[in-house]
Amino acid sequence: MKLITAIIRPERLPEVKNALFRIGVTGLSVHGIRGHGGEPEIIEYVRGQRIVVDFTEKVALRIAVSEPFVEPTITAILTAARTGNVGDGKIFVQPLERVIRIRTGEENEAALTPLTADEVQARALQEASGQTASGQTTSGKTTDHSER
Amino acid sequence: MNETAISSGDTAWLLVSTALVFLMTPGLAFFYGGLVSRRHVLNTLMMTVGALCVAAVIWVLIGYSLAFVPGGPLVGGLAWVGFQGVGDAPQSDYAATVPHLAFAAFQGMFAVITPALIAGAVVGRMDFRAFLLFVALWCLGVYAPVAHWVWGVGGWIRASGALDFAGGTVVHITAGCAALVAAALVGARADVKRAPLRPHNVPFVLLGAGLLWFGWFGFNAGSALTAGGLASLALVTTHLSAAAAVLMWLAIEVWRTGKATAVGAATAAVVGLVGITPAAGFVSPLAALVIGGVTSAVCYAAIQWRSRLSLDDTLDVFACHGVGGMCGALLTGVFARQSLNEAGADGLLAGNPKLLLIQLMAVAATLAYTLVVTFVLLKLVGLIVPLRLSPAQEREGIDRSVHGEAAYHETTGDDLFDLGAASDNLDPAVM
Repeated sequence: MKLITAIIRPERLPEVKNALFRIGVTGLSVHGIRGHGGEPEIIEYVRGQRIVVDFTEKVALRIAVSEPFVEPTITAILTAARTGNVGDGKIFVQPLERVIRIRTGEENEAALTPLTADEVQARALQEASGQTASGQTTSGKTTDHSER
Repeated sequence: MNETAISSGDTAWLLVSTALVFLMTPGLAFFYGGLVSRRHVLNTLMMTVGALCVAAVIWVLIGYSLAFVPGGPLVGGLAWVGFQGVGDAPQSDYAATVPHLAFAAFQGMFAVITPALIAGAVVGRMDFRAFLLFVALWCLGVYAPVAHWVWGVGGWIRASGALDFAGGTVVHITAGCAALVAAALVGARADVKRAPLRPHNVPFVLLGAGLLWFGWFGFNAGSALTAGGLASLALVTTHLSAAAAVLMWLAIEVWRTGKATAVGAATAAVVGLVGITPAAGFVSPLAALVIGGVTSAVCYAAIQWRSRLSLDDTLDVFACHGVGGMCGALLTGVFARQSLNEAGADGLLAGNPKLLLIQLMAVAATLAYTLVVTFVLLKLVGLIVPLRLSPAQEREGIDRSVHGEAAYHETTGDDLFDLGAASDNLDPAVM
């Protein structure tokens, strides 16, 4: 299990979300943050006075995934968040000691969705055969949980 | 008092104008409030609103009497203390066709916004009680006497022939100069070097500027005291000066920085309105365009100059109102034409350079008097209540330490960022 923290451009958030949902990674938290990386400072002008804005607005995603999903998640973020310019952000991958689902008390792999790629595929097929594409939000996750 | 017929048209216009001028003070609160940081916005609003209430009360109790009772060259009298004898009957020395009470109320709104303007120089660090006490004393010590000099029957500047249609001298030069002294005596913000003024809410700034522009029609066109051609002239010149000032400012910004900013536009509108205030009923619409454009350029330069000083006139009250007011007063001496307003005079371009000298003298006298008396009053207030917050209070943020409130309760990244502390809902790994 890994905790993946991705710092991305705020304007890429919709693309990254879609890319993650496409590969079945639907559990994530989003934080608005400010930070400093390699990009040049932002200059603002107030009444003719130059103001250097030290910290740039970014969005941080935190995603806990089981081992099979580490690489797909990274690939999804890389392709969706990349513009090729300085300031695209970073991905940090950290080992995750323990995960507990509060609702059921399930632990670790059982508390992470999805479990396997097969499960993702099965759900995608199920969705394609009947449900609307927008079923991929919170309600989609709930369905997933109740199946197990 | 002459029993002249009251004109319901004039009275209606003056009452509406009174309400319009009132709205300028809340408008100013938003203009100022948007310019400061999130941690100072409530204090900024409260200083403005506090000044409004203190000045309103002082005006009725004694200010109006000191300013407008026909009397000596320096100050009025006590005949109208508590608005006694100020009633339905017109006061023909000032406004022959409206109830005296309407005139006194209209003037009261000017007395309200003037000290409120000063707040912009000391936001975020001045003791609230000290500020209110200062406003009360300042209304009596500076505003009322200068209003008497310029507008009161017997006032020496009025007698000298100087022109001030709606308060360029009385309102803007006094407020600007007082702001300069207040900023110097209260001292700079503790974090002035580390945290340059970055407006926390630019839409507030534009909202405030819009309300000021709207209210200024009452300020200037209402100062005609009649609903007719003169009010129409003042309204048109007011509008054009503000518009010209914005265009000039944006042109300068694009030339110097490449960006036309919203804060710049809002600032320029106010500056253009300040510039036309003394001239509104004495100059032509075309002259108003020039006055707005020139005042805008001069105030832009003044702000750049001020920002190189250590003096922390936080919202540039002196550069906008002091310098803008002086600029407008002098340009009145250039562009005034008696053919437009019989009560006016011919200025430089109409072949009367003497008016410009008179205007200069009125400006210099107001400037000197305001600087000295404001200094004395602030020193006096400082003996009773410390002018400045304690360093700990200032660090905590004046909204919380003095007013016990916060403008914004959400714990967004913005909020944490302003407090300068990484909190536990930001993952250290992310930082």
